[in-house]
Amino acid sequence: MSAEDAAGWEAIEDRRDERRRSLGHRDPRCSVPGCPETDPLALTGVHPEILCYEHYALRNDRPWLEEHHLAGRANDEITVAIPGNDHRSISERQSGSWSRETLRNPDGSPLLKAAAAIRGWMDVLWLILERSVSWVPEFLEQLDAWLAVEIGPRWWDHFPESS
Amino acid sequence: MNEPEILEGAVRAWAVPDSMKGSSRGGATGYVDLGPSAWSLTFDTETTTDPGQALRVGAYQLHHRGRLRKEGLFYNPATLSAAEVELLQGFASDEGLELLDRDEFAEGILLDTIYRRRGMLIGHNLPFDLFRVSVAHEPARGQNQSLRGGFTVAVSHDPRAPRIQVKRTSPGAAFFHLTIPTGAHAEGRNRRRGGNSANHHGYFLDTATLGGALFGGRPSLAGLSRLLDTPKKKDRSEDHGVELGRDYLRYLRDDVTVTWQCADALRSRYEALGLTKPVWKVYSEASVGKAHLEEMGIRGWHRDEFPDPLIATILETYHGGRTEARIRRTPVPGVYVDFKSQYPTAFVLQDLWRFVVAEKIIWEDLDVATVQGSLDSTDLDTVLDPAFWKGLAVLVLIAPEEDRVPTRAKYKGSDDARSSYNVAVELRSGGSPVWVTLADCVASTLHTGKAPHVLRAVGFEAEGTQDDLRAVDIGGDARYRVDPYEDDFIRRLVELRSDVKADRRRAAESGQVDQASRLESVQRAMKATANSIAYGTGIEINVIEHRKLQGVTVHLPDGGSYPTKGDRTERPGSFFNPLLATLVTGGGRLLLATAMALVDRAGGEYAYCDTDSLFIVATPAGGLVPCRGGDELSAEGGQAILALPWKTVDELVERFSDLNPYDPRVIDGSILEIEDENLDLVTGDRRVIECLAIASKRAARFVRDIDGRPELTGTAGNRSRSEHGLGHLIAPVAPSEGMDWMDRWWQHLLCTELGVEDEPPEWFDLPAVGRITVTSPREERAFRDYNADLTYDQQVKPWCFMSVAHPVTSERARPGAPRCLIAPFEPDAARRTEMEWRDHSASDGESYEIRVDPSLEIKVGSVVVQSYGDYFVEYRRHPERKFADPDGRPCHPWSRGKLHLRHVRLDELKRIGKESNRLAETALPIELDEHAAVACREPLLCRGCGDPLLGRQRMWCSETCRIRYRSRAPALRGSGGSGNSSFGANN
Repeated sequence: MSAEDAAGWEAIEDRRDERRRSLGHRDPRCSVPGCPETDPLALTGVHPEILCYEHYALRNDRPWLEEHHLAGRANDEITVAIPGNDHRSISERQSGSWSRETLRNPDGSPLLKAAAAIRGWMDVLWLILERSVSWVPEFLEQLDAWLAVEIGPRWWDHFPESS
Repeated sequence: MNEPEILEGAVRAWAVPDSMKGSSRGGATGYVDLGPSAWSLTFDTETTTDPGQALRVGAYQLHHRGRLRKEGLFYNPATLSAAEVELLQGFASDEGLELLDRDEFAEGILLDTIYRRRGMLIGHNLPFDLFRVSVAHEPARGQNQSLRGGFTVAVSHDPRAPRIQVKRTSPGAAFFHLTIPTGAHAEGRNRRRGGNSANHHGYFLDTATLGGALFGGRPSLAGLSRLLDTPKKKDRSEDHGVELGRDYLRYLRDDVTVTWQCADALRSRYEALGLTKPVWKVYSEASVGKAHLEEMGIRGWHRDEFPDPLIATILETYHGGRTEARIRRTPVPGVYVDFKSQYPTAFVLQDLWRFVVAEKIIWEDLDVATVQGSLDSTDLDTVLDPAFWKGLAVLVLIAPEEDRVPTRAKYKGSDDARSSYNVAVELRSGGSPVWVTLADCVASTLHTGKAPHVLRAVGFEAEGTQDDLRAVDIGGDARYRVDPYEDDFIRRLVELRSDVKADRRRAAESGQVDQASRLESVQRAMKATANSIAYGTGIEINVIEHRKLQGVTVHLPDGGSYPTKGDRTERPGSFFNPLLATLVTGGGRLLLATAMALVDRAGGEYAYCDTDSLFIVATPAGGLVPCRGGDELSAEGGQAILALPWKTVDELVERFSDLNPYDPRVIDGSILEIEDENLDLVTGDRRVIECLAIASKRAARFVRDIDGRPELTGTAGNRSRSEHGLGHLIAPVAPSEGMDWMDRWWQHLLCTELGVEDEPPEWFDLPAVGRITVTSPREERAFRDYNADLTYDQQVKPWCFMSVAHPVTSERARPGAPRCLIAPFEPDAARRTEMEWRDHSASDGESYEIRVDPSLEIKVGSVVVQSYGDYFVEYRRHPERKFADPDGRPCHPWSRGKLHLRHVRLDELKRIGKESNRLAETALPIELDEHAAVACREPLLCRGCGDPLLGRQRMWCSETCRIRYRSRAPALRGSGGSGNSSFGANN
């Protein structure tokens, strides 16, 4: 992770923690039964009345899909429709990890516009990966540790086809 | 019986600060603290070696969810040379570390982590390091009373930046509190929208504090890293204060790693206990004890449950352990015995758990004739019946008449220029009636053969049981599940500890040294927890220091009260229950008195006792032992005492088997145990050991070698000798240089007393030097003049370690001569005489050399200070003031033989608060340590009419009184109230 990426990641983590405190719970989740949303950035309200943005929108007769400015409002009018909860996460990433010049691009630099478009697509890819497979690496690490305890440090020697 | 001496007596006071009135249950705001974020900052500092101990260089690590995210160094440009800064830059660059100056670190890393990110701050002896990065400090102010008497520390020059408040709570622990500037923050937003998030006030984890709470004592970082078996162990460095080098920077960096690893391991250990109290709120063993009570859902103390006069009555009966040197400066053979877990056992025997889980505690006046009758018929057999102990929850008012009840008084001797309060189970007659526990009455009956005259008796009983109590697993071990409705938590804890001790023995026998060491620390922690719940939390009173006098109401048992003022007030802890505390300590004293009475009935003597232990004079076959003041005559015609045969001692010990309240499958046999030191280390057979006592808390046990030289019993590192009165002195020799210095001190003392030739240790001629740490504004004031013209870095700041030396009396008597000398802390005794010492109360910067010089010659710039040898003479002379010597005079420095009781009478009882032993901790001369006990001064009275003064009134209650008094004839003025008149007759 580059220093810039690290700073962006730290900023998002800090925002998440601040949201937890605004919500009033260490492990907040949407209070609508069956809703799995636990990202503090996608939640609103105050414990125990916490709702995700999608349920909040539905409760207020608003659409749960929202238009996301892929490269930032200052760079391009192009939008894509994404669920409200994901919109919060991806917007947070945009404002937290992009450089301020790229996001605002006050002079309309074409290169910064291009950079913003690439960053926007990377964020979408990140979101897809985050939502679909982000749990896998930690699971694999834990499984490795568990197998090392249960079978031995070189557990894969017992499974030749896996090494 | 001779006429009683009239002494000045005192009892514990129930003094309620005006600020506490009406707020019997404080603290509960209904707001929820979400705890720290996933960030934590661990840091350590290295300092200059002058008294200011200014920051030179520090290292830090920033972790997120346990993963290292950032690591760096920081430095103080004012204390490093250009070459050292260059070295730092090179080292940081090579190692990939961030390099910051002190301000950048304090504002960009430290405050950013603990304030904005709400991360946890980790360190070992954290207050020391915090003051190294501070830029200013002042006495703590604000609404938070628990921080009064502490400091507010600024680490940033920005006046709007958050500050950290620090207050020492015990020798190894401090409270921390982050002050939050006004303005928007997440918790405030939450509350504005109807939430209940509490403002965060920082999260601090001091590994020294948490280690002490979990394992007892005050562990060093090196000791903790060994105990917790951290991947990295702490190194030693000898390069403090010299020019920086790369090795030293590596050592500093490693220290941070070790601190982080220790913190991580300690948190895991604490989490294994299954307690919900957050780890950053654990300050001591008592915190762990209270956490167990909270886990069970047990309700804390509510002041309204007891009326103030009743609390005053209970506190009047409260005394600590009983300690006596009965045979002084005369070696006697015997058997050393002690009670298994004495206070917890007294708790369990009296079934006091019923009070802990009770819905409420009720009390009623008992029929005096019935109580008197049962006391009159009490004998040893009664006391040795477990059923008897269930009925001891009674306090009685007695009119003492040659009764032996705990008596707190100033036992002045003929040589005393000053004296302090000491508690003794003394022969007492007349004076004011006194409240005591029924257990103390029974003990008196056993001692004197007659019951005290009872004037009133109040019995206590538990009513109902609290709802919604929860079962807990002690130590997180499901085998030790305690259901508070069914089980006695203390009994189960003692049983578990016994199991752990057995495991430790097995581990030691099978050569598993690390495992044995770990189990030893676990069992010590369990001992601390059992004691804290059975006794410590019940009498927990926190002393709060104030800059201005505070109004206090002192309540009396008879229902009266008087207002007074003090600059130190007391606030009860959350599980304060003085009834439990006084019943437990009273029960402990009764156990000891029962053993003494058994010895007495057998015709024997005891030489020494201390709370739960007794040295019984005994030999294999019994017989006479020469002893001045003894009641027997030896064959040679000298005075002697009777030594019991070992067999009689064994039978005596066995008498306590019936009082064993524990599961016999876990703890079998008598609760009075013959200690291992009575056994030969090789053969395991009983051996002759001897005891020599100087005074209470000053005794040693030993055996003689083939040449008759004394050798302390016990094992290396745990010899059977007192440490009391020596703990404030710095070791004169390094631990690596042969025998432990206190062992050597005692060996020489034994040889001197026994008349065995022994050269004094070489270090007796070295200046005796104590270690001092300034931890409160009151103590810091002693260095006001010293600090006056120095920069902040150079000033003596809180938590600075220093050496302190005391000039001999003749030097101190010289006009303008220093009374107390300070210098940087220096562990090497030889280098202390080469250092520059300064008068702690002078700002002129004049330095002195110190020397030990029997000629007392006056030399400019050189001061003769007390040597270890001088202290040795004083230590040996310390009299057992509470007893009389064989000739009937108050014990004096050279009294020898069997001491006798003093017959005393207390006409006047003063009310005093919590006593503290700050002298021993700080090594300050006594004149700098006023108010060693919280004084509840008597009411100030109007000089005119004599009514108590209120509020800001100092001399007159009204203008009318002032005018009337002033208009009187001068001859009459002397008859006005002095402000120290009437209080005394408490009943």
